[in-house]
Amino acid sequence: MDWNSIISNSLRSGISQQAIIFALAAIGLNLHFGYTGLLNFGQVAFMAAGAYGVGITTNTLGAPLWVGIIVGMLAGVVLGLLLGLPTLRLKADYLAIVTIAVGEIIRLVVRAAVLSDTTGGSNGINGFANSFQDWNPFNNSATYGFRLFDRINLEFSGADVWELLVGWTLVLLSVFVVWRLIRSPWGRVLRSIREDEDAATALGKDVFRFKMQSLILGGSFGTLAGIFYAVQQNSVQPDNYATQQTFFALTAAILGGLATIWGPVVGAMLFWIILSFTENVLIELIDNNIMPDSIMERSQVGPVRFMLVGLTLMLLMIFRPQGIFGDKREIAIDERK
Amino acid sequence: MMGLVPSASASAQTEGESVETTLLAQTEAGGDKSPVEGVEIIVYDAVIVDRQIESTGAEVGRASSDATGYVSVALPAPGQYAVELNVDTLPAGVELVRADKQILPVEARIGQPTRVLFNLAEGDAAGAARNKTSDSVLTRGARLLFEGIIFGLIIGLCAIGLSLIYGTTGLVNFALSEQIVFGALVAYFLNSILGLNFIIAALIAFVVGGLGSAALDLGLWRPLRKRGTGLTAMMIISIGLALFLRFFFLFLFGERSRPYEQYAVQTKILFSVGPVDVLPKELIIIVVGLFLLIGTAVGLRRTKLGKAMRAVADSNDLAASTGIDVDRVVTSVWFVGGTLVTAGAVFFGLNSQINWLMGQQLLLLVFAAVTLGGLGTDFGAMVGGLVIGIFTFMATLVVAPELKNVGALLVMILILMFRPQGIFGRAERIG
Amino acid sequence: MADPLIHVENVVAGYVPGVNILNGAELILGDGELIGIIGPNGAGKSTMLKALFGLIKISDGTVWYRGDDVTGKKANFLVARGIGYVPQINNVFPSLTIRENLEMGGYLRKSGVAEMIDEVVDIFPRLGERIDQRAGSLSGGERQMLAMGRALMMEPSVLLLDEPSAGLSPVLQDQVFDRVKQVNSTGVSIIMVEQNAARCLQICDRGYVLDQGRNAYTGTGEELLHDPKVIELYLGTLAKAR
Ligand SMILES: Nc1ncnc2c1ncn2[C@@H]1O[C@H](COP(=O)(O)OP(=O)(O)O)[C@@H](O)[C@H]1O
Ligand SMILES: [Mg+2]
Repeated sequence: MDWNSIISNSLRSGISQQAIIFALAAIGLNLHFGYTGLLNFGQVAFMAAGAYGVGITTNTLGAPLWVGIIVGMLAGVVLGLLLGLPTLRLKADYLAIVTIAVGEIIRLVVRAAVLSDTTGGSNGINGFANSFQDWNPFNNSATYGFRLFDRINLEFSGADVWELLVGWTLVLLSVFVVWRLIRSPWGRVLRSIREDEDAATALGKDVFRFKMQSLILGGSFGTLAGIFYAVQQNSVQPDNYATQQTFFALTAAILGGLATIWGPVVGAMLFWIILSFTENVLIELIDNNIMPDSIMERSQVGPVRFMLVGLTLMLLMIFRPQGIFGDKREIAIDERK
Repeated sequence: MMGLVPSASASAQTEGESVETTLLAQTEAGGDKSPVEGVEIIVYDAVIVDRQIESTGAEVGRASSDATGYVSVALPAPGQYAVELNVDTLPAGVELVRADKQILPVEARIGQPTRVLFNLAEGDAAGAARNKTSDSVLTRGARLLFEGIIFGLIIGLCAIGLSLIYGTTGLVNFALSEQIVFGALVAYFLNSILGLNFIIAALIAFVVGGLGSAALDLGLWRPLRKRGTGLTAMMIISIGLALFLRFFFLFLFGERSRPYEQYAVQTKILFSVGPVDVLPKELIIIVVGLFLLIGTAVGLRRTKLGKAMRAVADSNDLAASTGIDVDRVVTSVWFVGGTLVTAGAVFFGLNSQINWLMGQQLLLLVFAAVTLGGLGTDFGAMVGGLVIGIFTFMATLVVAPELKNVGALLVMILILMFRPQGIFGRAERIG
Repeated sequence: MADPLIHVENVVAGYVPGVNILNGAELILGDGELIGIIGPNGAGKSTMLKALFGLIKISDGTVWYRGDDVTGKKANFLVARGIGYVPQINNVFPSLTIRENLEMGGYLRKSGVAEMIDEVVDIFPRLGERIDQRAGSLSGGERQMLAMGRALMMEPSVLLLDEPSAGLSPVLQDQVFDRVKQVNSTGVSIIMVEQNAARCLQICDRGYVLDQGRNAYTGTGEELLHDPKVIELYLGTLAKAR
């Protein structure tokens, strides 16, 4: 068993581009569900809106990358409006189902062959964000970082350092925005809506407008996640925007603790550390013939780690819905009906 | 970087799998076909559900057609692939007759070439060929209607299951998708692995599916209700359960789609109604499906247990105060719901094939059916299922098949906007 | 002395742990009696009925039924032992027909359901006219009748009624009180919670005044009706005017 590589792979995953994407998506879900009590199960729709916004604008329409990024963000806002108008007055169950459905509609449409001139169909859109690496101030052929205790490899290529730097800066900015807003009067209204919508209405608050603002803002963090994903991969693939991404991000948010500022970020990091650790340990067990093939083959490692995600989500909700940092009284899950 | 979507993985390398085709183009309407040279074919890993490409993965290989129009791409292993015709390499004037048939799903067989067919034509001939497909629109419509009814019965069975459980417990059960897969897998295990006759396997699966569902209630949901766990929390728990089971089924079963034995190759036409050919398996689905749906509706209205289920759905507390043992009734509902869902699942597998994604694929349509009909009403779920089933199939008359679910989901959203209680739901008077 | 039919002794109960709504409530129901529970809104009257009927957890005290300790027994057990309960709100199954509602009332009966429906329809003729319509289509008064009729289906020895006259017009209220009296005269003992305190005390044998989860006053209906303290605090100006 190569523990050095297991540990360094796990740690690297915890700060990887994937962790950034999940952290951003989870920050948005936390604003929705944690602070406002909105059950958005279609965060992946916002991610897809951002990713395809950039991809289509730059690749298909030939605009520069920065224009694409702006268009991507706007696409997320428009999606939020379209999603919120019909659903925000409905019961929570319906919002959940409609948001999932919209996510799936977007995925099915962008991967359709009839639209492949615009969206690339099932091939997606590739190679539109080269200028992102052009802006990279680091040397791509050099490595940065260090080896912890001479064993744990924490060295990264210049391209990685650039992506991680941009990504984590976005995460920190997002956390800052949420932190300021939640302490503001606006944030207090959101929380009062979560606690008791009717009481908030009775106090003269236009609940629909606040919910809409929360949906759009939280969705924008998802949009940002999608844009970062697309630009960093230099590619948009329709099947990366499947329904379960939202649930993975939700698991990360709950793991860290809903209705807390740092919960979603820590949750996303831990989510990937656990996933990567499990994967690496299992692969080592199989490769060293400790785990016999009759029980598990290498191709079955993927399913096992996602089983673990499902189990984590279940056990968290049953035994510790407030996650690591949360406060049980702040979790809006037991008030319904 | 770890992929987020598990990709098709080739296990053992077997000799001789390939995809092949001969590209011939119709030169004039009704005339001969001539070979097309230098056209590129690209093969990708793919997940295929219900003869549709669910997702594509990495490229496996590509090749161009020779002077006879023949082209072949070697495959690493048997399994599911997507074959694309690169339209940019078509010679001027030659086009695909159906633009939506540019990428074809392939289930590659072990150790032998698997053929695919691309329909090519030149200029005017292409138009004529297209008309040939469109002037039979009535015929196609009739066939699609028939297939839609069958699919609608399948959706309807699952929708009643979901709706009964929602009605009595208030739980939006996302794990229903995996109850679907579970039921289909039990029947597969009995039929294809133990070799039982399909009908017997299906009947046993119905019972096992019901028992599994009741066991979930006893082992998970009832204790949670006793702890006072909220409905939103339970909904999220059902999502966790769904993820866990989904990947567990993938772990057990792998990514490949598989048919049931006996009925897998049965394509002998039983009888024809106008342009619609009825296969034996289709007749089974219609007869048994209708029997179960009508039986459920009658049972809910005529039997003591059925009435108790409706009473519990109206109010748990009130039902308890008339002497009904609410816990027992709820567990019975889980059993009945699980049985109906399993029936839908087995029929779905019979109609196409079973795989680990089928539950997820059906779930949103089931939600759409239930929403359309009105949450908690059995009759509504049934009609909602039929409407959604027929709508998805008929939609392919005007949109590409890969978009057929989009229409159904849009209809659901529209209904929610204008009639949130569904078509058959009633806004009750209170007090 | 023979055991009373029901004896609620020093009961402490509530909905959420740590928050007690009843703080040592007492109540005795003798055979054939009609007693009333009155008190201000939120006093815990409904909670008292729910506690004694096993719908909420009792943390201290005892409920006796015919000399047996039935504290914490589930509702379906008490129904089988002869206690019927009509809740204050949502007291019919709206999506079931009137006949089905009555059948549910006789859920634990082994036989005689059809005969019993006939008997109930004799008491509430209005129900007979609409027997196959959905209960959701009934008016408030009709629902009260149906709810009471459903509770009678088990031929209970005790009937618990939670504000049967709430929300009804004065004429309908009179009808409800007449029916309650009529049912009581057939030998069914009744505990009735009422907002319309004066009207309730007029027909009750005895009354309890509940305040903040405790018994404030007890006496015969007549005594309470004329007790200046009770008039001052609970019956209000309406009663004084009478
Ligand atoms: N389901 C419940 N959950 C929590 N508290 C409740 C519930 N029902 C009633 N209460 C509280 O219990 C107290 C007594 O209510 P109740 O017994 O209904 O009063 P009454 O019937 O005398 O008007 C009130 O403070 C009320 O808020
Ligand atoms: Mg009350």
